Amino acid sequence: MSEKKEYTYIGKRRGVVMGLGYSLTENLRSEKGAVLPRVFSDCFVRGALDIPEIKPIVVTANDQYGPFGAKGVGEAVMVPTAAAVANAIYDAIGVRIKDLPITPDKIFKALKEK
Amino acid sequence: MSKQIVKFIANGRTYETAIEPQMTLLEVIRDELDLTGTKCGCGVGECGACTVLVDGRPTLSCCTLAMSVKEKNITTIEGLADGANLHPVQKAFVKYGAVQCGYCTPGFILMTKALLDENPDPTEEDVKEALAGNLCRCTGYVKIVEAVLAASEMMQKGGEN
Repeated sequence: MSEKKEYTYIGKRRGVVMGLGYSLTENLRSEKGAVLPRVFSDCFVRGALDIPEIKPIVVTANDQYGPFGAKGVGEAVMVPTAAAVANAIYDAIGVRIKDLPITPDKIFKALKEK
Repeated sequence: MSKQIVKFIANGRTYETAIEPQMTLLEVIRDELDLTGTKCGCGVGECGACTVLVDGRPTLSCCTLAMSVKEKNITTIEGLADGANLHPVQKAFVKYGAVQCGYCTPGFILMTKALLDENPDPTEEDVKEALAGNLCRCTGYVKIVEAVLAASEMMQKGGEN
C-alpha cells in the first residue's frame, strides 16, 4: 500500500483504542448536561501501555450515502469494538453486563450473583 | 505577588523577562517567550502534552514553577528542527502517520528524543513504557510506536531517509 493511501486509513486503530476504553475503563459521567470528570485520571483514557496488538482489516465496500461512495474509517470502529469486548466477557463468564465500563468490581458482582 | 526579572535559556537562546514567582514553566514558555508549540492538555500533569526537556530531562512544564528552572537549558519543540531541516524523530512521525490533530505531538516528540538519547536501541516495550505518560486520543498509539522505532533505526544508521 503506498504511503499516500495508508494515511486515509490511520484512524482505524484510534477507534479500537477508544472502544477498549469505552468498554473497560472510561466512565464519562454527566449530570444535567455538565461533564463530571475534571481530570483524565477520573475517566481513564488508555495510554501506550494499554494497547493490545491491533490488526486492522479494511473492508472496501461502496456506501450509497457517502460522497463518491466513501465511508468513515475512524471513530466508528469504537462502537462494535465495545460490543465485541462485552460479548467476549459474556463468553468468558456466562453473564451479560450491559453497564459500561465493565470494571473488575462489576464482573466480581456478576459472578457472585450467578 | 511582585514581578522579578528572570533569565531563561530556551533552545540555546537567552531570554530576560519579568515574571511572578507562582507562574508555571508552561505559562512562561507560551506567554512570555512566545514559544507556543508546547501545549496545555490538562494542566495537572496527567497527559504529557506540556512536556519539555530541562537539561535534557523530560519535564512536565505545567507542574514546574518557572523560577525553579531559571538559567537551565530548556528545550521546547521549536528547538529540534535545524531551520527547515526536521529532526529525524519529526521526520519519522510525519512519514509514519503518527500525527493527526498534532496537539499531543510536541510532548511525544520531546519524550522520544529523551528516550533515544538515553537508549538508542529501544525495544517496543521500552518505547511503550517511555511514552506511557503521554496521552493521545487521535492515533491509538500504534503509529506513534512505529514512528519511534523507525526513528531509532534512522538515527543509529547515522543518516536520515
